[in-house]
Amino acid sequence: MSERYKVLGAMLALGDFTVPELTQYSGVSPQTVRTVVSRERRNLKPLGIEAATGRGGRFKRFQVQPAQAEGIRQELNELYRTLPREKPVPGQQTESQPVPLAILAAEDVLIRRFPEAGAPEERKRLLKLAESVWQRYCSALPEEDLPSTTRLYLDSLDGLRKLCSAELATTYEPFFSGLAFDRAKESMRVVAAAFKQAGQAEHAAELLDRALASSVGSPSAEIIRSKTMEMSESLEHPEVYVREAAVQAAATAASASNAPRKLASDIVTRLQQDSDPLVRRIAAEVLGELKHHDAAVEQALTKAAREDEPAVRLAARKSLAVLEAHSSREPANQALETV
Amino acid sequence: MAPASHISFEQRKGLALRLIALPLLHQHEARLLHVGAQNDLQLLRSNISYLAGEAIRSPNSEHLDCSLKGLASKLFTASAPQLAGSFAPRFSPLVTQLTRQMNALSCSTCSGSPSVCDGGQNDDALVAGGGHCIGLLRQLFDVALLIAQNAFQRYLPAVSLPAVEFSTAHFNQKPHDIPVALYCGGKTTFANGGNSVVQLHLTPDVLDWDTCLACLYVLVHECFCHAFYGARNPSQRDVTGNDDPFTEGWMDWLAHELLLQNLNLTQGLPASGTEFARIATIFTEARSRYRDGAEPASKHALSRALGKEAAIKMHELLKRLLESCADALEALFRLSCDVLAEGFRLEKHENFVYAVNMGLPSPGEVEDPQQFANIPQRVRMYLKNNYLKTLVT
Repeated sequence: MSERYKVLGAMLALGDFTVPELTQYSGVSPQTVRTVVSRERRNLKPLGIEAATGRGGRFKRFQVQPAQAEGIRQELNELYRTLPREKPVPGQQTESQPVPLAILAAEDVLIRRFPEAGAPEERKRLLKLAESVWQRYCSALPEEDLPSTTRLYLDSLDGLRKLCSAELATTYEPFFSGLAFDRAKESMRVVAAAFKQAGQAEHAAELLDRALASSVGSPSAEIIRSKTMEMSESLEHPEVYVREAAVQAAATAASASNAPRKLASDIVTRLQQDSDPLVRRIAAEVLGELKHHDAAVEQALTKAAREDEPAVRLAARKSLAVLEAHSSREPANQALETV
Repeated sequence: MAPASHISFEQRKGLALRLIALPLLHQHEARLLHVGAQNDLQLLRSNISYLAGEAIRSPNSEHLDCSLKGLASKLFTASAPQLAGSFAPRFSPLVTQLTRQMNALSCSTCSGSPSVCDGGQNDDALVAGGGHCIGLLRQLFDVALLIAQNAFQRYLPAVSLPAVEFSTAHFNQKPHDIPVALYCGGKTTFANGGNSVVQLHLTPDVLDWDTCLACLYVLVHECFCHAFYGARNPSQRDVTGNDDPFTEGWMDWLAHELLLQNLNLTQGLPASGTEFARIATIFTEARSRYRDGAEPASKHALSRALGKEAAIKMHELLKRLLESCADALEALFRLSCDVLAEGFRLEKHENFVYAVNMGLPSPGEVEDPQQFANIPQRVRMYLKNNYLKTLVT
């Protein structure tokens, strides 16, 4: 099983290949490589015959048929789930499962470098970098297969990203960023508590220090209630970080304002229409937390649960699960079964 | 164009004494310890340290060579008890060599004219032209530059390399936050004319032999990882900073490899290649240590570790590609020099390192499905066509 995984993977990795190239890349024996190539012949496009350099005969060069690449990718995903790997002990990170360095480095980018970076453009760049790391690892494995500490660090990265996003949005719109900041601070508190429980008190303190060092403040409930209209307008702000902050703020405001349905409907619109997957992900996330959910919310989440963007898909699935927990109505159940 | 700056005249008076004494003390140390003369050796070290401290308080009107001659005389007097004691026959060759070298330094010979360093504006030019008082550091720089130049000329023969000047600077504290007791650091800047200036940072008050050895690694790092950055367009480059995972992690890992490959070039220096290698390994490992250390990690450790890990993963990939497996390290050197010489900005360096790090498995690990995409094909395209822009996007 794992040899087929390696050879199929090598085909995608190399783009075009001969049997010796696949053998070298995959580390699988030439005989097995030839067997896999032979079985996959219908998915491969011959590119010609070439003489090998040095000793050896002539080799056929192949390429995966572009139309078949997706099928091979899906098979790789399935094979990967069946590969033997060490199961993590809950709450414990074994040496064989270290947290990927890119996650730690991205966390460091948001804890240390983001506040030091003066220009908004540089801050946006750092945020984008951290977001790409979060997306990469969130979509690599089903959440339940991620080692627990890696999952914790990904939660931390996401919390920090929201915090930084709120700080960045302050440049454009202080009111909404204040609300978004409150939510980010709360998720940081939860993550910090989890780190403390996992025996990493120093890191927990570092995260809390970062959250407390922020200059962003939150507005009073009275102001929130009086600014519903402005908030709806901000959901269409041209700057992605303002829209993200506005979506989060709208979720908070929905419970404090006089127009919760209007705000929920605005968030649904963001989930359905926003061009940026980051905003759609946050919209999907917060819809699961709203108390005023209805058929429109469930429909939007069900559709988002089939999106191409893995992060949006994941957030929508989680929110649907939350909604399902609140109500046992059919549409949510169906949605979970189909994703 | 202004000459590269150097450690001030007064500080150089003390530094000159230390730079003469440290190699000699190291050379004689094993022999003296073997006969049990550790106390005498310790006293001599203390005297040298005291006199070096005294030297930096001497007036500017006293030339450096005169200052050293005065110190030699004082040292000889202060060493009288050891020279008359039970270890005298073993001890006197060291003191004799020390005082002889201190007396031999001549400022007018160094400058080649009656005009010598006096704490004035002309000092930097005189040190750049001669610099006998910091001769050991200059020697180390020359070796480091040769190692880096040889590498770039080998891997990028068509690129004309910018000139590299040597500079020194004095620090009161350890010049870096890396958890290692080595009191030297470095920085490379780019002069308007397109030259690179490699500056060695030193804390003379605590200069010891290990720090002298570490200077070679620091200088190789500066010359190889920074001096030829943007060499294809040297007049338009700007430093990428301490958080650049490519220069500080990826290239540093190669700089260490390069130093180990070129230990033969350390012949003529007052230590063996093995000694330089030992300290270089300690220093480079401490730079990127981000956990499990007794001391807090450097604040840039994670960026460096990420770059280093990416370089190692790229090396593993090159071993797996038929185009490069015959000499994967050689291919990695060529690719890395090429990326550096292109002068990409920090943003591109970071995107490249993160993409490689996330896009390739660690040595011995099976890749996840996402790691079969993107990076291997981009690297193959580079190996076939030298097309850098698809590799670093």
